[in-house]
Amino acid sequence: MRSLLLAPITGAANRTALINRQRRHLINLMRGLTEPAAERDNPIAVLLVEGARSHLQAGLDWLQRCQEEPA
Amino acid sequence: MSRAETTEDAPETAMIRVKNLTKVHHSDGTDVHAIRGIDLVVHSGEFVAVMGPSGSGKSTVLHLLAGLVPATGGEIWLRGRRLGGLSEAERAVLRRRHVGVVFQFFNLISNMTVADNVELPALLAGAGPKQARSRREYLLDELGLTDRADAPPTRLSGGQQQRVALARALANEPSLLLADEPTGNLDSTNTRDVIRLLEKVHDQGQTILLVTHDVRVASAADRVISLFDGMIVDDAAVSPASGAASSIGSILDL
Repeated sequence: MRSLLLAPITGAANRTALINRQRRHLINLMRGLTEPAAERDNPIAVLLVEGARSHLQAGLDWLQRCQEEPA
Repeated sequence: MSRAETTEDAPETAMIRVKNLTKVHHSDGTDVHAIRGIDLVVHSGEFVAVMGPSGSGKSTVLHLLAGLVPATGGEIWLRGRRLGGLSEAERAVLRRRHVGVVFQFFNLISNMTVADNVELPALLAGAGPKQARSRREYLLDELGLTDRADAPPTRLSGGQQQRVALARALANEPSLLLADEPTGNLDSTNTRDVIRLLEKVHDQGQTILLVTHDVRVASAADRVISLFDGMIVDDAAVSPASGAASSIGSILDL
């Protein structure tokens, strides 16, 4: 995230490439978040999975916000 | 080879083939370039999610692919047929037989019941009443809407109407499903039901292209395309992350 915020200042990295890489990472993390059937009856496990999903969604929303900001 | 480089595939192997697509809206004397030269191939059986900020052109692409609005430039082939070479009536027949569309604002028929809304596309495409009813019962059951079958859409919540719109789009078992934010109004449980149904129809070989903001929906796809300012800025296959960094504990920093 630091490298993304500093990219326009330092010119050390391509901002679009950083955003793309981070988006792919978040989506692949989400894909890996399985919800075993047995855990659906465990409210703590369900809450943890939902919490992780919310974090990943927030990360993705923030990336879109970064994308909208002029370089 | 990246996905963007596969545009030269033979049309017959592609469900969707797009070449240098552009769309310009004219508004108050100003030209707004909504789509700026998109090349894209979606193969039969693929599940593709389209993401991007508001105004990036996601919904416009979907409407262009459905043949609902004319392109300003470029070409679109659906199932090997060039949309630009078809009349409006021919495009309507192509949609009715092969394409299911879920609109962002549902477009359900308000003076018909939920059941009739869902059965209508199958009946129009030539299915028998018994077959249309059986498919409708299956879809409403999958989406938790069986008890709302006799209600008019106006008596349903936004989330229920959205699921009815999805059921209607799938009534025909279309070879291509185009969906604009199909989980945009849904809570977590209903989103899960919609994703499960999408995964089922995908497993049955249907091609899906949907627009979404939801990371959960995008992660169910084979491939995610990112749009920005009317252009494709990323096109990547989805594969589950593995290792300690992908655990729930590390995501939540527990």
